[in-house]
Amino acid sequence: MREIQERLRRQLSQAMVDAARAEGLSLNVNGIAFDFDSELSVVSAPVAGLETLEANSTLDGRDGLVGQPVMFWYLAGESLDDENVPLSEGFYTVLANQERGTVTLRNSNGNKVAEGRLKACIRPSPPPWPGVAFFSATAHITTLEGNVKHGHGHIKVCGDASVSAFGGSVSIEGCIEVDF
Amino acid sequence: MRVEIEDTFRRELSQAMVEAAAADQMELYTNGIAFAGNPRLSVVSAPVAGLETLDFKAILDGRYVLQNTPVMYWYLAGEPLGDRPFPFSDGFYSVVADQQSGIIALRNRNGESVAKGGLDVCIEPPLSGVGPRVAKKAAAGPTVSGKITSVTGTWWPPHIKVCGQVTIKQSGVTVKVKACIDAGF
Repeated sequence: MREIQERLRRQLSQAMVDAARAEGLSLNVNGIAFDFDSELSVVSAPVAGLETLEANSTLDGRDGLVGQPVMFWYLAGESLDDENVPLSEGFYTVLANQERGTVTLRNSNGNKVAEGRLKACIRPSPPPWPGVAFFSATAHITTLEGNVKHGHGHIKVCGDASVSAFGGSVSIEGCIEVDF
Repeated sequence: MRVEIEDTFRRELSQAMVEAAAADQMELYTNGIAFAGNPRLSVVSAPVAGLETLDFKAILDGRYVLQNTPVMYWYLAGEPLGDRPFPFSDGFYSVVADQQSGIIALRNRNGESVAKGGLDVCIEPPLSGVGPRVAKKAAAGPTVSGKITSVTGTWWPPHIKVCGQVTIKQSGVTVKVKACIDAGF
């Protein structure tokens, strides 16, 4: 079972890296996360470079998360098959705009397809030395809801990309919610 | 990606789950399999077969129908579970519901309860005024699906939180059985 899961992680990582590269993005694939159910599936990976964030400047907005790609998502599932759903199966870039507190979901054609809420959290305290890089970046899928009935429905996907070091972490969470 | 990777692994994981469950004298509803993971923790969940025959009328009447009833079968693996003081290790577990007390027990393959958690049973009554297409689908028979709603794990302190859900639809009525385990330090 462990072998199957490791193979799954490797193949998902490769597919994500290939798709991201085609869009000029580099990913931190060690941090990949996924959630597959019978209605909706998501794979998420943090965009490389997040580990250079500094906790203090991220918290007060000086780190410039303005239109910056933070996560790369793959969305699929039966919930997206309905013609009324404004999202389709495919790869999406999650861009953060800290000034507005929003995230934008951009498809592989470069079009904005949805907008949602951005949250940046520092836990429990910032690392003590300014300029020290975080060790690693990891993704989590924190909410996955797909409920499509009779051409109407609700889809909500939330994920975070977090970097941590010395007991502290910075987490950037993006939530996309579409009702139709 | 969906066809090439998801379908292949869905089949492989289903097969591994079915074999493990058979050794535990359980049958699974593999169409409802769900799998999720992050760098710390991986979870595979499948609904236990037979849930589609639950007495929905009794549930709607407020009676307890889940008493020491296996509702999901989980495979758990990851860094926190490899830590020695953690109360259980990588492996297959039954999620056993007791509706009256509102708790679930995570039971290992020796039948021992290794953790307890919260149980929610939610009922959505049939929609009124639905069209013929929906009515036909509702009349087609019960459906069972599964999902994993939370997977979090920390290496230090070793701690995990896993939540899963089974959704059973029968004659337009939807019952959702939700279970959450929060274990570790």
